[in-house]
This record gives sequence, structure tokens and C-alpha cells, in this order.
Amino acid sequence: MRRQRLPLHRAGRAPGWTLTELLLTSGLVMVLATLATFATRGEAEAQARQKLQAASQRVVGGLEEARATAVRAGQPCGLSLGTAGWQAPQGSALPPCRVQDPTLESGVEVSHNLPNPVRFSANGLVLDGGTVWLRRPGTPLVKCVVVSLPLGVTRVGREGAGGECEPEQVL
Amino acid sequence: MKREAGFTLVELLVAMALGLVVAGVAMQGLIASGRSGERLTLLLRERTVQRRTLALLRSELAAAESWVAGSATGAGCNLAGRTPVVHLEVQGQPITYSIGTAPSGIWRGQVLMRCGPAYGLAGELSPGTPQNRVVLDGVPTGGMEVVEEAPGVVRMRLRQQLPLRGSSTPLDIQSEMAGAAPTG
Repeated sequence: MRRQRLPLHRAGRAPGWTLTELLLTSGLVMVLATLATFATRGEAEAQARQKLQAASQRVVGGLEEARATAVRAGQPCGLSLGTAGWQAPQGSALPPCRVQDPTLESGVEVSHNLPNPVRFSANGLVLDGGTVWLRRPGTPLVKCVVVSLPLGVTRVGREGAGGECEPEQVL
Repeated sequence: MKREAGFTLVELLVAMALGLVVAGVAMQGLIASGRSGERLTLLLRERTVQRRTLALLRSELAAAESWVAGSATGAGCNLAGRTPVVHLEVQGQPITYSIGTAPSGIWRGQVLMRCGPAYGLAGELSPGTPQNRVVLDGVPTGGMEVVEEAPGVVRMRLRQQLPLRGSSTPLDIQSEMAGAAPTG
């Protein structure tokens, strides 16, 4: 029995794709799929890292701003670091420093050994120091901010293998 | 034989390669400008901190009864091998600045440390045991100098060398300030 050819196909050629075409297409699809999975997985991590970076900048920025307000007013003030960010000191007679943007990024977990409150002197010295640790689900990175006395110099780093705050790897 | 309309494979490849080269050059330019921006931000921030360091020392020198450059005699803390820069007696309390190895890994290079009484809320020296604290990092040996220019006038110089990303030469930042001091 003879197979009938459909008129759409050119004579002498079987309908469908050749082996090379198929292999090429499937290869391309595989490459694209792996790229896509890597991209999305990396993106979530990158986003978490970016949030941590932003949170560390907020911690540093809050300190700088608080110091500036103490100098401008010529009066000492205080701030305490809570789970949500910088806030007015509790149980202290010290007036709170005004900070424009005190809240940290959402989802960032804060732990620190700064005293409550961190005091800023009338002439712009930072009287209390310590280390702030910032964590976020989705990334193993732990950021840290070290605050030193009496100038309030801050350094941002990452937690090292020994649990110490280390400078970030320079590329 | 009539040629079909459209590009040949070679033309396409050449066009794509050219496009890649142009995009690469543009990318390089963008990265370089980002780097120089980062560098400028670092420079400005560090210079501000340097000026505040010098202002702190100036205020202490102005209030001091006596001062000696390069000495640590009478220091209230163990300098742990750090090089003394200047020693002051302020309101009967010793304040010593020294340069040496950092007490923790977060600081870059050698640090400038201040051993002296803490400050109070009004910006006054509060009596108490002297504390040894990191004032500034990235200060090489000899990076801070206090020189008597004339009787009662001192000049303070501060120098920092900070490692830069993507560069083998560190960023060199210097500041100086004049101030009053008792005749040493």
C-alpha cells in the first residue's frame, strides 16, 4: 500500500523536523531553562543581600543624622536601636534625636550590643559604641556595623568564620 | 543565478561581533565612571572624619596644661607596642594618642587610638578610668604629626591610606589643621 503525501510538503522530503533541527531546538531550550532557574535563584539571594546593604546604610545614616541634630541644636540627644530601627530612647531623660528615615528594611533581623540609649553629646561626639548584626532569611550573609568612640566612626563589614566582624571581601 | 534577498550568515556574524564590541566598550566606560564616583564618595567621607579627628585633638590641645609629641610617659593604658604620637595632660588627666595594630579585624590597616577619659553629654571630659579606643583606621606609622610652629601654635597633620577596590595603589588622604596649645 502506498502512503499518500500531503500536498503541503515538498516532494522527496518526509514531513516533520530533521534530527539536527530537533537536537538544536532541545539544546537551546535546555540552555534557556537552566539560565532562567539560575537567574531566579540568584535574584532572590541578591535581593536579600541588597536589603541587608540598605539596612546597614540606614544604621549608619541614622547615627550620622542623630549626631548632626545634636550639633545643630547644641544639645545632647539619644537614640536606641530596636527591632524595627532607630527609635526614641525608652526610660531615659535624654531627648530623642530626630532622624528622617529611622526604620530599617522589612524582614531584616537586628541584634546588637549598643547601650540603650546611644548618646550624642552637644558637640557632636558619640558617647556609646558597639556592633550591630543584620540578618535576613534567604541569604547566609550576615552584615555588621561597628560604631567606635568618640567620633562615631562606622565601618560596615560581614560576619567572618569566627563570628567576628570583618571587612567585606575586596574584589 | 539570482541572489536571494536577506543577510548572509557571514554578514550577520560580523554585525553581531561589532555590536558586542561596541556594547563592551560602553560597559567599560560605565564601570569606570561608577568606580570614580565610589572613590570620590569615600574621599569626601574620610576627609570629614579626618577633620573631626583633628578638631578633637585641637580642642584637647587647647585645654591642655602640657603636651609632648612622640611620648607616652604617664599614659593611662597599655599601648601594646603601638607608637606614641602625642601625650597631653588635660585637667590633670592623661590623654595619649598612638598608632599601631588594630584591636579587631574590621579596621583597615593600622589604627589611631586615643587613650583617655570619656566625654560627657555636654562635651566635657568626664573623670574616670582612661579608655583606649580606635579613633580612625588606615593610618600608617607616622601618619599623625603634631608640630610646634611657633610658641603656642601647633600644626597637626593626619594621613590615611585606604585600600581601593580594583586598584593596587591605596587612596591617600591628608588633612592638616592649626591650633593653639600651651608652650611645650
